[in-house]
Formats: sequence, C-alpha cells, structure tokens
Amino acid sequence: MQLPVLTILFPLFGAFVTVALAWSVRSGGRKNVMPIAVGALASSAACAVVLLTQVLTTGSQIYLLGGWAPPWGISLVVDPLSALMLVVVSVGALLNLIAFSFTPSKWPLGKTPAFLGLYLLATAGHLGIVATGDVFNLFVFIEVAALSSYALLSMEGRRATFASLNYLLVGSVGASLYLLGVGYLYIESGSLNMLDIASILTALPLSTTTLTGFAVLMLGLWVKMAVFPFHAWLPAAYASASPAASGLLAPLTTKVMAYVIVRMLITVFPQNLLAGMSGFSSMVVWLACVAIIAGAIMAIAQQDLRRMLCFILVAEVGYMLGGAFLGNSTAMTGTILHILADAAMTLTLFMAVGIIIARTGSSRIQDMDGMFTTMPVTMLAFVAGALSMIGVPPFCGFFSKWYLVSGALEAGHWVFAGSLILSSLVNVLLFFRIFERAFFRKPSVAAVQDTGDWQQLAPLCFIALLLPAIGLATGGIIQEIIQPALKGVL
Amino acid sequence: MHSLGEVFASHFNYIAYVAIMMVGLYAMAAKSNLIKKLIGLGIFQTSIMLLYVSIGAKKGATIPILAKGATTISPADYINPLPHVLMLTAIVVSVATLGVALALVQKIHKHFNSIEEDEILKELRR
Amino acid sequence: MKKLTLAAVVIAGLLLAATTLDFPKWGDPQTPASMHVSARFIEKSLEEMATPNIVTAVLGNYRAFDTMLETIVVFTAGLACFFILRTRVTRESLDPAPSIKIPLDLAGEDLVVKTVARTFIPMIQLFGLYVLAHGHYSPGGGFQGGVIFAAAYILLAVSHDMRTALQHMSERATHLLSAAGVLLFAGIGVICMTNGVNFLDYGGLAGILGMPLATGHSFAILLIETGVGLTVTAALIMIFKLLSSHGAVQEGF
Repeated sequence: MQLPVLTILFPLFGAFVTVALAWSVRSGGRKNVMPIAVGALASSAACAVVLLTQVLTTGSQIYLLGGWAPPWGISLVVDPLSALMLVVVSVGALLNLIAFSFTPSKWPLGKTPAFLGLYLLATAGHLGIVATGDVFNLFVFIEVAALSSYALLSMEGRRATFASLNYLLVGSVGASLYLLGVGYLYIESGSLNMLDIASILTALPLSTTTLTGFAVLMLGLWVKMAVFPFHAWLPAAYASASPAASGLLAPLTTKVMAYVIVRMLITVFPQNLLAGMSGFSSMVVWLACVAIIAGAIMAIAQQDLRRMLCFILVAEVGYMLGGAFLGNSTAMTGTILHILADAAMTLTLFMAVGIIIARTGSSRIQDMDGMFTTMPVTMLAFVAGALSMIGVPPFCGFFSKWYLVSGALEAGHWVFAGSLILSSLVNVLLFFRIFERAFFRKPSVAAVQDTGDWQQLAPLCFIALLLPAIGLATGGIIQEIIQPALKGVL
Repeated sequence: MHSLGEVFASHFNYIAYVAIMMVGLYAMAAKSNLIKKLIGLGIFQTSIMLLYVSIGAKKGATIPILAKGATTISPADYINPLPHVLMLTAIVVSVATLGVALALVQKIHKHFNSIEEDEILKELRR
Repeated sequence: MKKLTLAAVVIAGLLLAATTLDFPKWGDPQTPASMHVSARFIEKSLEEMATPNIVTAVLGNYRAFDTMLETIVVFTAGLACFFILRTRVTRESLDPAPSIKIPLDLAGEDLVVKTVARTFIPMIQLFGLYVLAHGHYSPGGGFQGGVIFAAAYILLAVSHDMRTALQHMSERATHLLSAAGVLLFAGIGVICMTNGVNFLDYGGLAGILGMPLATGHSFAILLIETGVGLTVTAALIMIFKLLSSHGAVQEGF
C-alpha cells in the first residue's frame, strides 16, 4: 500500500536522523551513523524489491500523495519498468555504501555524517526521479540529486572541487532547460501530470509549442546525461572524486537520466510526435554515433583507469540515446536492457577501481602491474565487469548490445550498428591492455593483499555474479517488464 | 492576420524572457570569472521564472488571494496560482544552488588563489 | 571565440523567440494553462482547506510533496556547504586570509550601528513570525518568513561580530534546527500515514486531532510552514556563517 513512498522516505529520514544524531550528542552519536545509513538503504531496497514483486503479480500502482487525485495532486507511478529501476538504484546505492563503509575517513570534524547524509539524499533524489509521475516534481527530485552530487564529488583535492563547480554550472543549465521544456508543455496542456499531459497532447494537433518544448526538454536531459558535446563535466567530475562518491553517481546519474528520456518518449509525448519529426530523430541517432565513436577514441588516450572508464561511459550514453531514438521496439528494448546492464557493470567496474584506489592510492594504468597476484578477488570482479562491457555472452552487456544492434539493422541504420561494434572492439583493446599488465607483469614493490576483507569484497562479488545472472534472465525481463511498458507504444 | 506590432505587443513577455535568457547564457559561456558565470546562471534561471509567471497572467484578474466574504468564486477573477507555486519552488532551488556554488568558488579560491577560469586551468595543467 | 559564442547565443535566441509567437496571447484568460488544473485550485481551495491564499493552499497541500522536497533542497544546501567548506580550527586558521579582513573601525565597533541593529532585530524577527503565520491570508509563508528571520540574524552578525552572533545561535543549534524542520514536515506526513491514509494527506491529522476536515487541513499547512521556516532559517544562517568565515565558523571577519 504505502510502499512507493516508503522507498523514498527511508533514505530521506535516514539523512535527517544522521545529521540530527551527529550534532545531538557530543560525539557518541557519530558512531551510530553508519548503521543508520546502511539500515535506511537496506529498508529502501527491501521496499523496492517487495514493490517489484507486487507490481509484477498485481499490476502497476499509482500512489496519490496527499490523497489528491491526479492531475491536481502529485502522484508516484510504479509500473514494472520504474519498479525495476527503483530496485537498481536502491540496491546499487546499498552495495556501494557497504563496500566503502569501513574506508578510514580522512575528513575532519565529523564530516562522515554529512557525507552519509548527502549520500542518502542523492539516493533518495534518484529514487524519486524514477518513481514520480509528475513532470515538475521530477525537476525538484533532479535538483535534490544534483545538489548532493555536487557536494559529494567535490571532496577530493583541488581538481575535484573545480570539476564539481563545472558540473554545477552545466548541470544547473541542464535542469533549467528541462524546467523550460516543462513550461512549454504546461502552456500547451495546462497540466503537470505525465499521464494527463499525454492524453491531452494526443488529442491536440502537434503545435510548435509542443515540438519546441520537446526539443528543449530533451536538450536539458542530454546535458544532464553527458551526451557527447555536453559530456566534458562527466570525466572531470567522476575521475577525481572520492571512490565512494563516484561509485554511487557514475552508475546511477546517467542511467536514471536515460530512463527519464525513455519515460518521456514512451509515456509523456504523443506517439505521432517522433514520427512527425523524423529529421530530428535521425539527427539524434547520428549524434549518438558521434558520441559512441568520440567516447571510444578519447578512452584510448587515457592513462588513468577511472578516466578511461568515464570515457567508456560517454560511449555507453551514446548507445542508450541512439537506441531510444531509433524508433522501433527492438532498439527501445535494447536501450532499456542497456540501462539495467550498464548500471550493473559500471557499478562493478567503479567499485573494483574504487577498492584498488582505496588500497593502493593510485588508479593509473601503469600501476596495475601484477594486480592479479596481489588483489585476485577484486581483479576477477573487474574482469567480469570488463567482459560484460565488451559484450561477451552470457554477461548482460552482450544481450543489450544484441538488441541494440538488431534494432539498428531493423531500422536500416548501418552506421549506428557499426559504431556499436567498433566501440566494443575498442573496449576489447582497452581492457586487454589492462589484463595483460595485471596478469603477466611483476607486481610493484608496495603490493597489498585484498584477501580477508569481506565487508568490502562481498558486495563487489555479489554485483559481479549478478552480471551473468541478469544476462541469463534477459528473456524474463523482456517478457515481464519491457514488453508491458512498450505495449501499444512502438 | 494580425500586424507584426500587435503580435509583438501580445508576446512581449515571452520575447523578453528569451532575451534575458540569452544574456545569462552568454555570460556563462563567455566570461572567465567564476562569480560572473554564477551571475549569468542566476540571470538564466530568472528568465525561466519570468516565462512561468507570464503564463499565469490573466487580463482583468487580481492576485490569487480570495477576497473576504467572497460568495461566488470565478477562476476568471484570479490569476493562475500554479505557476507562482512552481516558481516559488524554483526560486528556492536556485538560491540553494547559488549557496553551494559560492561555497565551491570559495574553496577553489583557497586552492588556486584565483577565481579566473583560464588561470585555474593553466595551474591545473602544470 | 567570444564573437562565436555571441553569434551562437543570438541565433539560439532568435529561434526560441520565434517559437514563442505560437504561445497564446499574454493575459488571455482562455488558455489551457488557466482553464485546466488551476481552475479547480481557485474554486475549491477555500472550501477544502479554509485558506483564502490559493498559492499557500496549492503549495502547502495540493503540491505539498514538492514543497517538502524544496525544503529538503535547502537542507541539502546547508549540509553541502558544511561538507565543502568547514575546516578544522587550528591556531593558523584562526587568522584566516588577512586580505579580506575588515579594518577594526568598520568591523562592528560603531555605537550607532550597534544600537540601531539591536532595536531593529526584534522587530524584524516579529515581522518574520507574522509573515510565516499569516501566509494563509496574505502573501507569505514558511520560506519568506524563514528568510526574514535569517536576515535578522545576519544583521546581528554584520553589526556586531561573529562571536556575538555565535553566542546567540551555535553551529550545533543550526544543524539541529535544520534537521528538525524537515523532520517536522515529513513527520506530519508520516503521522497522517498512521491514520491509514496516504503520505501528507492531512485528513489523517484532522482525524487524529478530531478537527473538522477543512480546519485540519489549514492547521496542517501551518505546521508544515513552520517546518519550512525552521529549515530555511537554520540553513541560510549556516551558509552565511560558513561563507563569511571561510569555513572556520568560530572566528570570521
């Protein structure tokens, strides 16, 4: 009954209590903040999982906040797709927090509670973006997620601070453009509820206002999602942040924004809109091709493991964007699968690299020598993530790419299919370069062992094992979650 | 068909919002001083508020506070309250963003002893 | 480069301005925006929640979830500024960047300034309380009241010095208050849930308190506005202290 809102409320209350507790007792309260944060995220994840099973058996749930019926009040809409995303966000945030919870803090003055508060707020923001059924409420959730992200990403040296301010400037413009698009929709429809807007716009002839609103709104989301010409904030911010922060935000932010784009395309905007703007969507697919190739090329040039992953992420954003705009259901299935798969494998890779950074203090590729002998478990998980990123069956990355490529061929867009395959080949090159160093070369002098610290390695192993599991469950996911979402749409 | 002057007069607010927005965008893109960029961001966000508040206007209507003892309430008598509500939220969000941005600028100044973007980039490349 | 930016901005502006000509005329009462959702707000808010100020009614009730998140954004900003700026106070940092030090004769040593500020601060605070509490009937509400309250505190800090200001409200108090405000707001929502209705459905609170429905709604709006006011006051004071003292908070100026 109350599960949709509880999923969001647990991390929010966790954040308030964390801050209140940290300042209420002289120092005694600060010891309890970590269990509270983990507990809040675990409760949220449990709610999300139960919600997913409920939605799969009994159908979508609409939760009316304040009891006001839409379109007057705000509602949370949980259909199979958003329930799945809720699970992805809450479980991802939980695993990442557990993995980095024990990392000794070098922050002064009880900044750990503040960090945890911001971490929980960022998680709640992303959960809300996924769950909400109101376009303006989505903007407010974007800002909750964004403000806490800026702070989380700024705390690791001067490079991180500067990158974070750049992210703030770019991200605020992106969110403002989204708000502008919402304004155009409001002028045209007089409503803010997604389903209501959809029914009103379908009944109206397409107007310049709707088309401009669509374009501006998408532009704002692309900026937030780091699509190629607007991507510069992403590698700068994620590659210099603390491992716990980039491990939370790199998997979630871009994927949640991709989800919003999918949601806008399949739920909010009328289906004749993209058909009427075929020039626009083919331009977007070309942009996606450019993003994929540019991301791959820039990734080759990187000397730092995390920066390399960030540029691969830029290419992956291109996959999701292109698939969403190809305009057939196979490609859209591929996009949704890739949102799920990319969240899981980015989380695996960033967590593995984060653990390496926490242990050795370096993420440069040249320091990766002999990593298989010194940190075998971490490296095995890294390999799993890398193979999935390349697209080796049975890892989940293979299936989503399969659908994306078939969708591209179905639409007759050879260049998009070609860029996808090219970027996979580049990934092979990038990751095997690292495997070679880590497997064959002698470890450097100050070698650290990763065995024994299961609090850190268990979440990593769990998510790494999830990669083939998601891959093998692809058929079920498509049948139970993606097909209902796309029914009657494409 | 209306004359151009008439169209301009009836869409003046909307054209003004675009003009203000572009001033903000230009400041953000062209200025290298970080504080000036933040001022640009503020102008940019304000222009969107102007758009929303313009949507809510109704000729001949008054503020959306019901008169004391009003018996018949007609929507045509009061301007649209919803854009005002939305912009209250947006204003608060932009204030919060500005606070965090200023904190970041102050920290950048502490690290680099400068708030000029080109100088900071030069320092970072070194 | 600058000319290129200017050209791009002008072209984008012209395109965007051209699309606005498709909008309905400014001030037209017959637009979808004015006819669809907002008409009900104007017609029903007095009957449903005894609140003549429709903006407050929509803000505090129909779209209360937005307002809660807006308050959380302010809370986040306060927390974020603390996280970014706060430094450990060491002997060296007690004398922060001397270049920004205000000369002693300007730094709150003026008797006239101090006296005027001391006279005005209580009045400003009273006005803040009025704006907060009278938001049902006139322009105002939690955010506006909170900002005025914070302004009174900032006046104290600039007319005297940070040490005096800290004696009136410590750093810990601001953090606790900002958490208390959002807890009050979200707590009201949860109390409503315990009565078997949805989050933030004030009918639940009215049921618990045994009030008529419209009065209960009105009362709940006042409570959540108080929560907003608390968080906004505390978070703005927190941000002011951190920014004005380069994150040291104890000293400043």
